[in-house]
Amino acid sequence: MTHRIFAIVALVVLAALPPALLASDQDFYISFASRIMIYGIAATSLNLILGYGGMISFGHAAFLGAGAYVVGIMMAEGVSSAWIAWPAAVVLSGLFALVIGALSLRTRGVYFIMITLAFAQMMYYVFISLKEYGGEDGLNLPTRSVVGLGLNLKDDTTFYYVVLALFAATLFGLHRLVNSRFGRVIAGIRENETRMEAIGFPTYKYKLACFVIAGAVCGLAGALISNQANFVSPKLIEWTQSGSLMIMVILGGIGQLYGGAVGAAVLLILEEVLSAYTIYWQLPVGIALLAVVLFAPRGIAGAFTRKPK
Amino acid sequence: MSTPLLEVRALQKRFGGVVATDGVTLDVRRGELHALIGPNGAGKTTLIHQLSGFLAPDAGEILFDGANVVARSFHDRVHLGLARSYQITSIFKAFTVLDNVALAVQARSGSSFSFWKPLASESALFDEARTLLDQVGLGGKADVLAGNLAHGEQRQLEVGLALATQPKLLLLDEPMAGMGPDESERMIELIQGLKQSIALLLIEHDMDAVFRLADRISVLVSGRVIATGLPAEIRENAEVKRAYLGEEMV
Amino acid sequence: MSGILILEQTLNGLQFGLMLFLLAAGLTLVFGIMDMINLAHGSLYMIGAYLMAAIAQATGSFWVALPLAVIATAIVGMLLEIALLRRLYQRDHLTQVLATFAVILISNEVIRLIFGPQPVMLNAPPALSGPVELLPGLSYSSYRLLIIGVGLAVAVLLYFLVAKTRTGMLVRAGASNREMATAMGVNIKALFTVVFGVGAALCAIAGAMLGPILAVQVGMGESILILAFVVIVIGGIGSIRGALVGALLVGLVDTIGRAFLPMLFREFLPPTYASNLGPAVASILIYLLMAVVLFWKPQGLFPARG
Repeated sequence: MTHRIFAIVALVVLAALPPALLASDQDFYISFASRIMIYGIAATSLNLILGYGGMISFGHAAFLGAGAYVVGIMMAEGVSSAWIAWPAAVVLSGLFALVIGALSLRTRGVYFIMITLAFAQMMYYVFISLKEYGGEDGLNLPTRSVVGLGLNLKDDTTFYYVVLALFAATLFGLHRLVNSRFGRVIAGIRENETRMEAIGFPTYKYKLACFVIAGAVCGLAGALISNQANFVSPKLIEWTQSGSLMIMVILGGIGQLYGGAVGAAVLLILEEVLSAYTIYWQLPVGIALLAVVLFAPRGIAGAFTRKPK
Repeated sequence: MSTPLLEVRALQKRFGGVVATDGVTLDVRRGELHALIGPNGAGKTTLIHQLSGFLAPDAGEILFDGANVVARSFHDRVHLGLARSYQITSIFKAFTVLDNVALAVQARSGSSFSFWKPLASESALFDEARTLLDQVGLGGKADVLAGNLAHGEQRQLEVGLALATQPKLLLLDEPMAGMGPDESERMIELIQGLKQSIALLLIEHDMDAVFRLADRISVLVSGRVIATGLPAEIRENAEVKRAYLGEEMV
Repeated sequence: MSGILILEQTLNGLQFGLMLFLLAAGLTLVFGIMDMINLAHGSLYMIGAYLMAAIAQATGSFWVALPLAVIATAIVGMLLEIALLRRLYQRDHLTQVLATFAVILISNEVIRLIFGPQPVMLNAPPALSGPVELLPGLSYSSYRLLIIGVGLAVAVLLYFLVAKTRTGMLVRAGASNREMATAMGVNIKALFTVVFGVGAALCAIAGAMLGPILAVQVGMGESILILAFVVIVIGGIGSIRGALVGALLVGLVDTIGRAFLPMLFREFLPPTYASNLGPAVASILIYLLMAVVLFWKPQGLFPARG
């Protein structure tokens, strides 16, 4: 019950944010808030495989980049419709996840981490080499995706509400997923994979499905981020980006429903606030991360849920 | 006479120079509790690994319910009705006892590629899980975290997980490992209760339990079955005595 | 494609590979013995390079600065181990990844604070700034020859240390079976700190030697760190021999690939494809190599752990 109340209150607050910001002449932050939610979607997708599935993927930014580039490349080729480009981003990212996951999940432990990292690096170098689409300098998007229906995404407030809708849908979807049969299997695999096999679950298939879902959702985030920034570059796929996503998950609460969202908000706000004071803002972020990892491994959202005894 | 449920014929397995399984032949009949005993290092666990599908034998046949399962995977065999419990407890410590068993029931009842419908709404699944818990004597502990159970209770849960797959034959790998007298007594009663419904291959060192429960006993020494028969016969068998006494003298 | 060019690139690959080996050796030991993923290893490389640049600047001498920088970095490494890293040995891999990633962020910013964001000058010793004629027609940088020499010398020294000394035996025992080593009464804590210090020293040598060739700048550790991990995955975790073989493989494949693949592609593919594909494939060559090795030998070429 409390959970449902919290969710509704949060939704109302988020919906009321743009008018409040407009009224107080801070409407620059509407775009920033969209950015937070988009990274919230990306971090939530990582939380699914990292927190719930226990798979330490160090190449998740690959899917963010894939989704972003799908939209960017399609726009460069004349296709601006969101109804085509965004589903394409989701599907293609999902396909990448299928290939990468199918190969990587054959490995365990550090080998899995390394292989996922390697795949992301491969994608990074491939996009750097695509000179027609900007190469290392990146690709500018002349406009935002076209939705029609009287909605103009170029207006930051409209874009914000579209992002909010997708953000809420993602979290709701995750909520249903973790409480479903599939979610229980993933949790079981994380707990004791050998026993899951012994009970009769083909664990590889489930992990792969989980990986693909996460990749596809991250692709959606990628489509949105390229819209938000009107720009896409290989920097999105750098391994430090994958690291940032992991930081968001651990800060926010690994394996917690709102972990990705909270973590994205905390990291991005921290970045924004600190960089106003110093160019060395990564220093306190690094210290905060270290502190959380050592002393509060369940993250911020974890502090609000009952610890299993 | 009906065909045995499990037939093992001339099973061979070596690890480098060591012959772990040396032409093992035995069978388990429907409805019987067949105990497998033998001194340490006889190869009992290696045999169980080959029966359950964890290890592939080098030669020989394993016929389950008439079909040769040597090439079949671990969980294919589970789906066919051949399940095992483990000597080292392997449960889901962070889940409740009920959720542990429910997960095992979930494995064999319908597809789990279901992403939307809440699991909590499947009352039939949880009813069946509770019945299983009663069967293994954990009915009152449904909502306890499995990690918080006493050792003996965890072993009971261990059997419960294997039972949830609705096996025709259950391989019990030292269910009484590490148990005191009270816990062992409870486990013996549990196994007695199972005898009506399924066939059991029991590996145990606890001779008291073995002789109380077994319909037939096979003795494994150095990878070979040196004797198979009724408990009374095995008790009197000279070769068996020598195998055990021999071990004690060392 | 002249033979001279191939020889030259092979030497470059050898040089790079040997330096990679210095990094990989420390990394594989830490991973093999302490079962710890240490992303901060690249930061020690960076610190070594910066300390070298600073001390060389202060003393005016490359040769004086080198041992000082190495010792200083070893001390930094050991302090890091004692203060922080030893808390991570018992934790899971994800915690180790995140904690050492935090160390990367922190050390990058600290270095930036002290030295500023611009790359720092580090020059080769003046005596070695010119080329040497190895073969008729093949002139090679004498400094790079020094690097190769240093790399080989350290490899031999390391082999001697690990294979022939008592400490080395303890290290190898720890790599293959930690519990056994502890049971035998080895002071594990001290051993770990020493191993870490040695690893840091190796990083410093690599950083100091490569400094004049690559740029000494913030973030230099990250790019070489990934290569080092690829090396130890290929070579087998915990194996120094594997680190050497893996490093040489990676160094040669990467260098020769980058030098000749674009050329090769231009011969056989239409120009638009070649100009994109060539460099891209050259960059990902080592990852493909890693994937192939893992496919054939999932534990790497020389897995140390039983």
